[in-house]
Amino acid sequence: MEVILGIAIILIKILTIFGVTMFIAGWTTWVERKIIGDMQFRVGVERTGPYGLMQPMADGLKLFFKESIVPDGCDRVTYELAPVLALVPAIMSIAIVPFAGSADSFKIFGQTPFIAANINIGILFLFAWSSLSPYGMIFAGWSSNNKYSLLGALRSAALVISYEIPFGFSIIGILMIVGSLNLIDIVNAQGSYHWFIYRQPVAALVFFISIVAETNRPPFDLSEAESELVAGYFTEYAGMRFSLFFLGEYIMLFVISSMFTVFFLGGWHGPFISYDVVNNTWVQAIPGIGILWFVIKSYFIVFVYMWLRASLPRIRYDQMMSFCWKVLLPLSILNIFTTALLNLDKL
Amino acid sequence: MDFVFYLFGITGLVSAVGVVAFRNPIHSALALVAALFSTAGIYILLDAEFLAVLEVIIYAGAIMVLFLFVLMCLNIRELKALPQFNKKIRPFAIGITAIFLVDMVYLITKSQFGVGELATGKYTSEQVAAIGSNAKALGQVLYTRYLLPFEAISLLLLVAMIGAILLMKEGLGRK
Repeated sequence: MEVILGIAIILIKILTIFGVTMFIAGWTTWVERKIIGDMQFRVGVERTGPYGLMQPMADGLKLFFKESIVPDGCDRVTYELAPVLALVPAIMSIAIVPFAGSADSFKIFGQTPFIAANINIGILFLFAWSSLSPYGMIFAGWSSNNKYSLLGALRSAALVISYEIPFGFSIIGILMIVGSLNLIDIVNAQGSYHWFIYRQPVAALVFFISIVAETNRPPFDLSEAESELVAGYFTEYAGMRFSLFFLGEYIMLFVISSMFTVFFLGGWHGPFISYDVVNNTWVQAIPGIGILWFVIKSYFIVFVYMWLRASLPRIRYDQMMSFCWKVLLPLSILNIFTTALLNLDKL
Repeated sequence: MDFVFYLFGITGLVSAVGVVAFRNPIHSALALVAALFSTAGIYILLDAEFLAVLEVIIYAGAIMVLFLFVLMCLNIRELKALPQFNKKIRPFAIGITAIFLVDMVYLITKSQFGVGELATGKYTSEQVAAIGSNAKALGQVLYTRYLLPFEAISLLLLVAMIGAILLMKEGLGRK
């Protein structure tokens, strides 16, 4: 009985996550189009449903029924595999997003906290999957037999490899303070408003810039620069294959924003919920308020992403590389040493 | 658990053969990634999740991406004919393969499938769990017992890094 219940809970978790993910990915595109439309004094989508809310459904249906064109002279195996490889890392990494804490009041079925996989090495799991995300782009660009695609793929691969280093290094300061790789421990360490955004401001800045680059979002979207490369690595993709790339990008956007929330904005911590240090639990005045704070904070970061897209022009490629290696990397190393010096008493 | 082990073992072996057998270097690289993943899966079965994740981050995430990068820059589509095997290399190749074969046969006969038992290491799953986590146990060992080798390796990597920068600088100077 115990085993069956355990398996049932795991299955329910997987299905919930899959559903929530698809929902998030679809309606984040709606949010983006509305916000950018607003910032450019346009109305944005409005024809399908109230406020254009049904637009993601319409887009999905349209893409689903479109012909998936396979270009001549492409490498069939990698061409088919690339969209899947672009989507899998995003869906896998949403498994470790902690929507709410380890407190008893959060548990569903009295067994499990509100996180799909509460693993000891949560951060490394995220890094592992995000380090695999270039594969989708590389294979897509190479297999399409198109020089624009290949150029886009090369750019994105170089970009992701470079920005992965400050991305990882900026977190080390927090790891030294918390002493754990578990995401729930990291949020617990930020209870009673000790948020890391003001304990580690440099790390927060470096982390934010590198996540924008890691997700290939503007102003770092050189791999899909329309003015030079048509659409970059997915130029030759159409129909459902194209939509898989699209889904992957938007899911990753949410995952990475929620990671910023976990590392720097105190996760689900906020008014009406407080951390009880003695019992290592969270006390909430209104049930479910923790999840609400978490989603609000994460979507604030998603909003900042869109804000950046609407306001900043694309950065030149060489400037971006030298900025990573000559500014962000030294800054993050400096942050590690400063944090180590300030926390010598923890030894 | 046995079933999962055989699953990872078979995919690992098949993809390892694929690395050598595929004509297209990009397909070989893809097969190597699959082999690395299977190894990581076996690490997780051994309760060594930290090693598994590091394997994925470093080998699959960084080194293989660089490999692919170079392959795509060279734009090798397919090896039309296999390059002729240099006859002078043959004895060395056979020798090295023989050493690995002897190693493998020895290990298999020593392990639980064969006659004897392999000596259990100092760090069993229970002990690692008592320390706290995989990462903690590894860190403790690295910074106490293996401090000198650890520092030596970091020094080596630092020298390699400085060397790369120096080579780059000289290249710029000649222009």
